[in-house]
Amino acid sequence: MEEKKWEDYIAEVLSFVKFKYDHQAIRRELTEHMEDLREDLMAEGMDEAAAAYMTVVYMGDAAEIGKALDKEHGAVLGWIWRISRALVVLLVFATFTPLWNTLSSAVGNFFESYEPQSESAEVWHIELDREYRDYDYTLLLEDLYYYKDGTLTVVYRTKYNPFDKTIIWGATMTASAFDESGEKAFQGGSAYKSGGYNGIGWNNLKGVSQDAKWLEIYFGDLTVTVDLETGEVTDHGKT
Amino acid sequence: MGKRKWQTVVFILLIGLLSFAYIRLNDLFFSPEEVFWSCERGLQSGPSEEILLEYESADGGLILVGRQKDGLFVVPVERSHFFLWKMQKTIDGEYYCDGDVDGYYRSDGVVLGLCKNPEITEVSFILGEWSELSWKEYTCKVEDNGLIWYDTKVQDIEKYVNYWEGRNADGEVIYREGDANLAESLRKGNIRPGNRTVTKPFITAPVRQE
Repeated sequence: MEEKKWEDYIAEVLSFVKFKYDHQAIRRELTEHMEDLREDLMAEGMDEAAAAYMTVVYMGDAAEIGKALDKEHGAVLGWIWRISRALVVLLVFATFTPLWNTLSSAVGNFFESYEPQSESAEVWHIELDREYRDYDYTLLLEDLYYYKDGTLTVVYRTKYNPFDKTIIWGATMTASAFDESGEKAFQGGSAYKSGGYNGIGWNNLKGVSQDAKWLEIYFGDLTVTVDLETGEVTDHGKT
Repeated sequence: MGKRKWQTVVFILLIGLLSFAYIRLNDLFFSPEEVFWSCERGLQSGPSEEILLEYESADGGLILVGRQKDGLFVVPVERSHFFLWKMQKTIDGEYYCDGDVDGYYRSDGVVLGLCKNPEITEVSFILGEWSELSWKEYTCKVEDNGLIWYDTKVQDIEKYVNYWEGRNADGEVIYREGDANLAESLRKGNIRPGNRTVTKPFITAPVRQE
């Protein structure tokens, strides 16, 4: 009987609150508050039925409370809050995969290192350690290796801002070795490049003759020349 | 309730941040032109002097044609997420135009090209097919900005342009590139356009008349 009175009271209060999505929370809050009040009354010596009855009396006018709660739980703010919360959840899910791919490839690339591209002995090694900018890419020329079997390998990395407005492509470099007369001094090549931020790559020129004088590295509009005798590096185009 | 107000502010800030990340990481843009410029930069090409043409292709995409110093840069784009734009899966990219007149056939049936000689006001080209003996000649005006654009209405990935001819305002041929003998044979009726029948042998070696 008293439970019915409580239900009626809460229903009347809720009838004034327009934002229906908050009804459940208000009902829970009111019920908890009324239960606390009943327990206080019982602690003062009132029996359960009387305490339940008096709880409704002490709660006050349902219309007054309902109007106050309606003001507090405004429908406009309520809807904005609800919709924005749903959008955040949706966007978190939607952004997770591309963000994860970007981060995981960046982390993977950080730990990926150069693997020697020839089984023959290393004849010499030049630490290039140069950084260039071409369009929205940063090219980091790291090392140059020359092996006994005539393999010449350029090791490099590329960086870019993943949040830039540029659509990112492979961003690979090419290279050519030349002899004193300006003729190509290699017989072919192969290349590797890992994608993503800070991706490492290497370009192997095969059959590079001992008399090769210089190496040209091409990256977009940029050309970097390495003197293979002195190790001197010069660049042309955008830097 | 103050809590809800603050939460709403935080949610709105997060929406802005996450939307930005989503749009950027998925290469989405607010206009087709933005896709074009971003694609060109990403390919370390250009920038194009201007976008000469935007047209709707037969497959529903929008094709943007930019003019670079010595050629064209072509990017097909499509709508995405109702109001955004993205690049199509494959793009034409940079097309280097050799000589005064040059161009290529797109699989949507459109021939795109560039005329670098301002005296040339009209061009003819022959569309051939890689695997079959089939040729057809088309003629079109050159746009004031040098663009050549012609919808052949023939969609076939086997097609290619194998002859260019440029004429001045008086109708004189002032430029030829490609298989001139083929053009000659085609005009004389020795090859019937499009019926894949050769009635007389012809020389296929490319001839360029200066």
